[in-house]
Amino acid sequence: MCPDKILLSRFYDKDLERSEMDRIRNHLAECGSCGEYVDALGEQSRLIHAVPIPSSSDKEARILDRILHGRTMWSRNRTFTFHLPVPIAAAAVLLFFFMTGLLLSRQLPFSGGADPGSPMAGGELQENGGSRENLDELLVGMKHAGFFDEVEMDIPFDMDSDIVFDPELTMASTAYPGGE
Amino acid sequence: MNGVDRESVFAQVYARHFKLVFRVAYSITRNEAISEEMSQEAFLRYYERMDRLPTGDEARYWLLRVVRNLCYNHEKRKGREARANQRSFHEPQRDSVNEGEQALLEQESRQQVLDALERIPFNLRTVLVMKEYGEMNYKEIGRTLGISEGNVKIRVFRARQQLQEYLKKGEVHVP
Repeated sequence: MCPDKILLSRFYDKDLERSEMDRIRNHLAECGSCGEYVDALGEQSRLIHAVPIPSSSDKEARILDRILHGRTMWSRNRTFTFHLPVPIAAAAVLLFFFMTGLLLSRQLPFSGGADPGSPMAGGELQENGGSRENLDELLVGMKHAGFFDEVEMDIPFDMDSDIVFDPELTMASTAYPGGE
Repeated sequence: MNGVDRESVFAQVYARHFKLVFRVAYSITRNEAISEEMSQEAFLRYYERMDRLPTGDEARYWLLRVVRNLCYNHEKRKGREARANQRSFHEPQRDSVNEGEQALLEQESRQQVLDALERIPFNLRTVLVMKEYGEMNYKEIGRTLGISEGNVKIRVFRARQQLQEYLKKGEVHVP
């Protein structure tokens, strides 16, 4: 009866007692099938060793130097990467566009589309340039359109007085015991 | 242990086992650069903990276990497809001196052996690699991997069975 293949594998690796080794050796002399199996294991081993393995001699000194001097492959090749959470990154992008839009709108030259009274209209009025003339024309246009007709102003002081003052403030001042 | 002694002991362990550790790493990963990286990491860990670790021949088991685990983690991380791509860039160059049909046949056969080895599951492949390249017996492999001797015997047998099946499918010829 043939030994099982695990036993043959162990025989090939010489992992059996001497008596067991002898017994199988005798069997192999008679059994072609088991002999072929053991030969195939030898062939397999030969094939594995026929595969070239790169020389390690050049790496040996290099790696030893890195370890002893603290220059590991990782520290040499490591690149710093900064991971920003997605919500923060999205908020930063939105803020960037918002601020960019805001700055651009402030720097735009004065145009008819903007409220001339608003500080957002921006742009310096140039005496010799066309901007001042444009402003004048716009104001004249507005006047004709009745822009100023509907404006009402409350004047908080006495027009008869020589000195312009707020009558309510004056009364408060005289009512104060320490006031004059 | 002072700094000089420490470096001296480490250098001895390193000189004794580096080739074996690298060979095992390469046999598992089939990638020269990765093998270098894994070998370095294994020795670096040994160097950092060597006050608590064995020296001499005993260090071999520890180093092989660590490099095997590192290779396993790498394999899990990269996956088979990535390794196949890398292999195509790192596979050993053909011998320019040995030309002709015979050389081509040998090269193809070696590639078939490599492919067959790579198809074997990691746990089986590691045991076979340690047996063939590490020249270790079952007991030593079991000690290195933290498994029983009986388990090693079974794994070696299964690895050989599978390798045989894969090699049969291709006509392998390496003189």
